[in-house]
Amino acid sequence: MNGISDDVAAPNQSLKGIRVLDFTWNVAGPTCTRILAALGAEVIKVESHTMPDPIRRSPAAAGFFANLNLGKRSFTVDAKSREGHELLEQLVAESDVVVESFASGVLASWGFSYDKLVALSPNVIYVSVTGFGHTGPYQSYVTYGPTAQAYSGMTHSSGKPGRPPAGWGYSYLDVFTGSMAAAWTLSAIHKVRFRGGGPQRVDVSQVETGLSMLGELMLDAQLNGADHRRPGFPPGNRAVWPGDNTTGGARGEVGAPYGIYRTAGKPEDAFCAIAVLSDEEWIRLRACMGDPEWAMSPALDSTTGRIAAQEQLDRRVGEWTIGIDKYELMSLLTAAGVRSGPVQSGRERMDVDPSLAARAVFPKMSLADIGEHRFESIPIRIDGKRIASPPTWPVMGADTADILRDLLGLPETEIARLAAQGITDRPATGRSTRAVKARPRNLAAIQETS
Amino acid sequence: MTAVSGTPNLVPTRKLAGRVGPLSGIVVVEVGGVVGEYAGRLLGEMGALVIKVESRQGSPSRLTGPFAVGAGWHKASLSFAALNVTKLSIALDLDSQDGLDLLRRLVGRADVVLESQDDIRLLDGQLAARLEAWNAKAIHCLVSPFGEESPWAGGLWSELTAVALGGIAGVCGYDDDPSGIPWPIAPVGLHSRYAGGVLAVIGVIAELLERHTAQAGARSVEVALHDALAVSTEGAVPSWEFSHEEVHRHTGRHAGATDSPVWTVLCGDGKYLCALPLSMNDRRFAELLDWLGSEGSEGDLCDPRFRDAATRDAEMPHIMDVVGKFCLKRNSQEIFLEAQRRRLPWAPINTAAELLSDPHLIDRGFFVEADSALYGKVTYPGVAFKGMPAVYETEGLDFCPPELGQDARAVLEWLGLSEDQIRSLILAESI
Repeated sequence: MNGISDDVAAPNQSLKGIRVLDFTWNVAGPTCTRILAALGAEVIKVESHTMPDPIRRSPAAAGFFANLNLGKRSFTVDAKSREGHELLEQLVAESDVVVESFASGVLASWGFSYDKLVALSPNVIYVSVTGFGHTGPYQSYVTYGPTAQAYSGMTHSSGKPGRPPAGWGYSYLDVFTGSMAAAWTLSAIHKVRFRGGGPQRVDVSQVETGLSMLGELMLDAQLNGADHRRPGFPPGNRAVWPGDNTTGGARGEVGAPYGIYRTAGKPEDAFCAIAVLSDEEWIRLRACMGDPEWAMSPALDSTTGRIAAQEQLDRRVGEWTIGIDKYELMSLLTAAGVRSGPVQSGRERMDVDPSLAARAVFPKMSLADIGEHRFESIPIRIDGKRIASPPTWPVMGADTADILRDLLGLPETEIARLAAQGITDRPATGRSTRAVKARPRNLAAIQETS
Repeated sequence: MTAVSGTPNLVPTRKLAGRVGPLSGIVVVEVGGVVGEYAGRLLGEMGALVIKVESRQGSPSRLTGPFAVGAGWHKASLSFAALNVTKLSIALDLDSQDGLDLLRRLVGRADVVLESQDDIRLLDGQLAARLEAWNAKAIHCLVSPFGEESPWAGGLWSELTAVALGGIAGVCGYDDDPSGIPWPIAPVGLHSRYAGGVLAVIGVIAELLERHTAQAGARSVEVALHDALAVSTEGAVPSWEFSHEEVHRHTGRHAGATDSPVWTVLCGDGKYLCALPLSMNDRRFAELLDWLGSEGSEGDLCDPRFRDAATRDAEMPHIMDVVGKFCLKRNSQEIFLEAQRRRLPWAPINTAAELLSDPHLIDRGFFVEADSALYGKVTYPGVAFKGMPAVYETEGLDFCPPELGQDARAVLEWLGLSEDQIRSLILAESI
């Protein structure tokens, strides 16, 4: 059922017996809970028919939504109704972890403050994922992924000198914060299980997550007085900009040639990164290029000399690479001991990249209502086996009746009444929110978080 | 041949026990190269005791920039600092029998052996294989650029080539470069190590939980940086799989199959600002119009046609033009505060350095301060959440990035070596 024929995968049961009540939506929160689901937790995604996860209405619709929500169950409820609220209280009482990604204060305004969650489930782990966090002067501020990236310093760290920031090309902080939240949630489960229990609060902030990845820049400013708005920073794709009074680059590596070069093919796709980190590697690259006369200049023998001559070097190297296919270039350079890698698109990572294929990073799965497609795995291997994500996704409301019956012990008549009265099913006048129809919109609109 | 090196008797012994955090009591022995160093830092932040075993020359990341100029070129690496706070360091000569014996004893005490396997190796293949045999109960976590079973296994790695191959550079960049070429851009930083590191930690904790329920011995965890990056590009992969569309780079905003309005605007103080127009619903547009109107800068946006959401979407480039002119005359911080007061999801494009004085982050206690001989008194980024106590809340903890071999004495005492044994290592110029 799961994956390709020669792929070795196994379902993971590390979180077996852990129940997660999942109020998250958009990207960051669901990324956290999809990891928990892949590790064997029972994740119940809670939505209302009037305000479903906005990703259900995105252009790539069901597929994109399913990719973010693999292995979760779907429970629908009108949280604002008295009976709906009571059902949620009962679900909290049965849960070990509650995760949400609403704006700060929203869940509490529904009557589910941390204190209330603890009263209902004494060892609960309450995880929230927001831009600024649930405390501090900016706690109520509205953010999406790009907002948090801008504020955190991440956006500024990407770009060419003298140009506006290039930023991150998508809400990277949604993805990374989702993983970060999953890691701390797992640690909290470890604490509750083995280190004396008690309820835990994990108030994750995307801005803090972004800044925690820029430690060397923070230290550079303090210890060297580095001004990150100086000319030459950030240095585009280079390790350092020529003439920049550098203290050694901000990528943890220094060298030249060092950059992204055009290769044979369409301008949109045809680029290859080359990173020469030592004099020996320069001699190897030079040999690959046929030891041209310009490259034999003694001025280029040292890293310092090559950094000073980057304009000329990059032009010359680019004149050589533009005649070669990027994958051929990688083979050639790798064989010679030069660090290189084509700039790969989504299509190329899925259809061309031999390493990702061999490791089944995008395994094929057959899902109800969606059919057979490739999805993003959680790329962790345990004893050499890929973690097999459960081949299911939360079809809107599909698990509501089962959860009411099996978890809360409600009789069938009561389940039917709650549905008929619009407590757990869509109101008679409501529009369908089942995520199978695409609404054409810019893809950007689906890549938000709250 | 000396087995242990460093300057352990010149600096005060650092605290090993009593670390606060959800993984307190867990012992991690970190060996190898640089690609798994962030995983070690994160485990340390969670309260685990992370003992970094280095060669006598030190971890390769000590030799990479940026450097603290005041400490002398190549003495204090800031990328090393960023990836190694919370750890203890012991430097061992693994060519000597004494060094091997000490490593074996360390691994014997470990719950987790974290091994980075990149092209700058501390361990040869044989020794790496022995680590698992030395302690079958320890979780062996291997972090490498491409993974053990990959056609690219053992291939050369760098931060730049990793983010190119992994897909980040393919979606970040410019669509309006004066050269006419849509250049991809690789953001600066140590991002392949962060992406792989957080997944390695997820795998390790999952196995710490599993270890207590399963009868069998500990299992291994393996993460490839390339795999981790490849699943981190949000819309790029699903767009190809489900819509058969490739996304294209757009300056400062999401890559997409179609174009989107420019949302990076320049403010009067020279800073750029993210004036995010996504989800510009009726309420948000009314707020924007009210704000611009109150300062006579609304242009033609009060035209009734903009009340229609579809028209707004279609004419968003024009709306953002008006917004851009408005922001150009104002200070980015003032715009930020007023935009947020009006519930618009805007923010200034800060540098990491500017955030050191950020009132919100200070209020949340995000930053942690520490003084060390190598780095001096510095503020470090702390953990990305508030609530559950993490290691920085340990009283009297010196979590600074370790000097090479700084903690040898403390680690040897903790291993149970007698004062005589430690002295004999010192006399042999081993520590």
